[in-house]
Amino acid sequence: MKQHRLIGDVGILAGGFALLWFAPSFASDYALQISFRVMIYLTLAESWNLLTGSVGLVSLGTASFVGLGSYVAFGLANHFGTPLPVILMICALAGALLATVVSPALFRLRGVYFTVGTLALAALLQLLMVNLPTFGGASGIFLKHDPPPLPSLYHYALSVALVTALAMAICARTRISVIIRAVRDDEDAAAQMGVRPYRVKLGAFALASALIAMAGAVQAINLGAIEPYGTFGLQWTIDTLSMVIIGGIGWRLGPLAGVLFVVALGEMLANYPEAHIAITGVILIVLIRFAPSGIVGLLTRLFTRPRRLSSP
Amino acid sequence: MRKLHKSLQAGVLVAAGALTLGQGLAKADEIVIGASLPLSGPLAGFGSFQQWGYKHAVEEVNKAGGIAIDGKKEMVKLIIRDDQTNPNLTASNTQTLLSRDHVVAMLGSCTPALVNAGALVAERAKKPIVTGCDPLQVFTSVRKWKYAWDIFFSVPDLTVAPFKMLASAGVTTNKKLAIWHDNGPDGQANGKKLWPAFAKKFGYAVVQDAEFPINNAQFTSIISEAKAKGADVVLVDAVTPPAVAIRKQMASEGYSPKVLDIEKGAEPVQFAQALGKLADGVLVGGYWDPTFPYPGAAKLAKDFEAETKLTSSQHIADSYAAAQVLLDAIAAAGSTNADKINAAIAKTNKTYVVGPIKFAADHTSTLPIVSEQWQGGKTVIVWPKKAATGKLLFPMP
Repeated sequence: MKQHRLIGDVGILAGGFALLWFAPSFASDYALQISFRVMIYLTLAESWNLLTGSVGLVSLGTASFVGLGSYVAFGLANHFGTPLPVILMICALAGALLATVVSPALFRLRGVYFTVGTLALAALLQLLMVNLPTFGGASGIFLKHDPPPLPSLYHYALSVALVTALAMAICARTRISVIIRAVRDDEDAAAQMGVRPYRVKLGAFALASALIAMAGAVQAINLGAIEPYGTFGLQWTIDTLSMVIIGGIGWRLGPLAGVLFVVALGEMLANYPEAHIAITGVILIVLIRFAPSGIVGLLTRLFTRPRRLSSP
Repeated sequence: MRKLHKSLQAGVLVAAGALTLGQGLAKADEIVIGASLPLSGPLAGFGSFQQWGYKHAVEEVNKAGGIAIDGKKEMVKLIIRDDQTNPNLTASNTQTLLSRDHVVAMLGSCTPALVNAGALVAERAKKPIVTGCDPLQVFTSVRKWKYAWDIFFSVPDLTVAPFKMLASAGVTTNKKLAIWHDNGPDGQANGKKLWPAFAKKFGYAVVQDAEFPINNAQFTSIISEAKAKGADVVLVDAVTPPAVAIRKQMASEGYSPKVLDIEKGAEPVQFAQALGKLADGVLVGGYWDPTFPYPGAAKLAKDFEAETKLTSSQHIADSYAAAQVLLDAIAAAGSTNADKINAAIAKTNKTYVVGPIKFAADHTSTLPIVSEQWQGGKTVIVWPKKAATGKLLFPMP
């Protein structure tokens, strides 16, 4: 049954991808830019949802891997002239490698201590970059050549989002789904049943980090300039987790709904710079108060008829 | 599966509706220019002044009937977005202003990271951007610009100013210098390279060179070290919140050097408001004052103070001048064509509220530096003598 669902998901994703691929031929630059932003945030949000919603690892380290991807991408582009598809693959490897290297220390910590550990990782990397002149120090690095045109960048962002969506489909529609939920619900009980929690957590952490690093690389190439405060900034982490919480943590469509809502809200309020932060804050408070399971949770509750307990 | 389908439908509807509502439409007979500014976040203090400067210049042009484009007068519409002091947002705001609002040109943000992020986007889109608030050497180090123009001060001019001021005032110190700087681009350039070099040139001994994170709040150990080493002169490079913390913690540690110069952080009026009498005697480099003998300088500060009931800042002047340069260029071009506007900016040669503006080949126009000192909640110019509006308070109270 699950295999059928996986095939269905892959079919939907392939169809959607094919359709969106041709967007540059009819969509405006504005639509492409918004779509680019959606794809980048979707990759981050899906990855965070996998870690937190599915595996139960509440990470505040998103910025670490966004920054890592950015710096690796600039290093490869500026010093070796590496083509962007290769850069993305190397960034994914770098993200997974960093996750693997730090996991022995981080996985010793559980719950809130793990969360604080991931936050410290981002701060550590930021300080490292600020103080290492090789990486441009506090001034950062500029891309030596102009980035690819917008339609091309959009295609890269779309491809990264597709890879992410496929990875999430595999995690949700195969036996992996049961294993990661077992680790999330009770790590010790899962271990008793023969699951190796460390490997499961490491696999999810490395996968999420690889995807985030790819998104960071595409975003950095789009900017053309990076510096430690922006690339390793806490804002990436906060944006990502608020999008997932708003959309619905743990729901398959939660990240997508959260990303669409936040990006659309940002665009709606952008022309009211004096008020937008206050309005956004109020909307978020109301949402969290009345829809604690997020937009997807709320809509599912509203649009689903309550089942009768017994037939007449 | 049905649940999923229904929720997806509703989600898409909500998002589509929201995006539709978000579309801003410009009128066909308007000249639209844009700016992304730090209206929230750590640099909000600068952003609010810049916003006023930009808006004021546009209001004046509109009151005068607008700008003639192809012989027909058109009003100017300025669209401002908040970048929350985040370069990623500056870039995306600039992209949206160009693609959604179809701005014909941009005005810059504040500080190198934000200005450069927006300028790079405008440069790629081949749309002119005029900015202040980005030290010239940092601006030119990014790339050879074609569409970006910067009106601001030169970094060496700013960093040498305290030494020149002390030499000119003829005051006596023990020539022991403590340097405290943040690890941002300006802080590292000033604190690690330029100040130590100028100290050597002017005969000062650097007894301490301390670096701290940009948003640091605890300075007692740094202060104690400087006090123990007996530094009479302290040069600081920090943004406003740490600058306020430094001054307060110096007072609580009982450390009162004869000279305290705080670059960046001591610039906005919020610094003096947060410190009250403790601000008295603090020096800061400046590039504009209402007393400058340039057309409209005094009126600009008066207009700002009348409208906002706040004390003016030099950031109203460079932003106002940047906007005027752009608006004059649009008028000179008589067109909203980006290349024609860009060519007209290059030909700028006029005295504005900040002084004469003429761009060099590297797209920069230098503003002269003065040394200012906080005295009784206001800044007075103490150097150079020809521009001075008050006497140096020495030693610092």
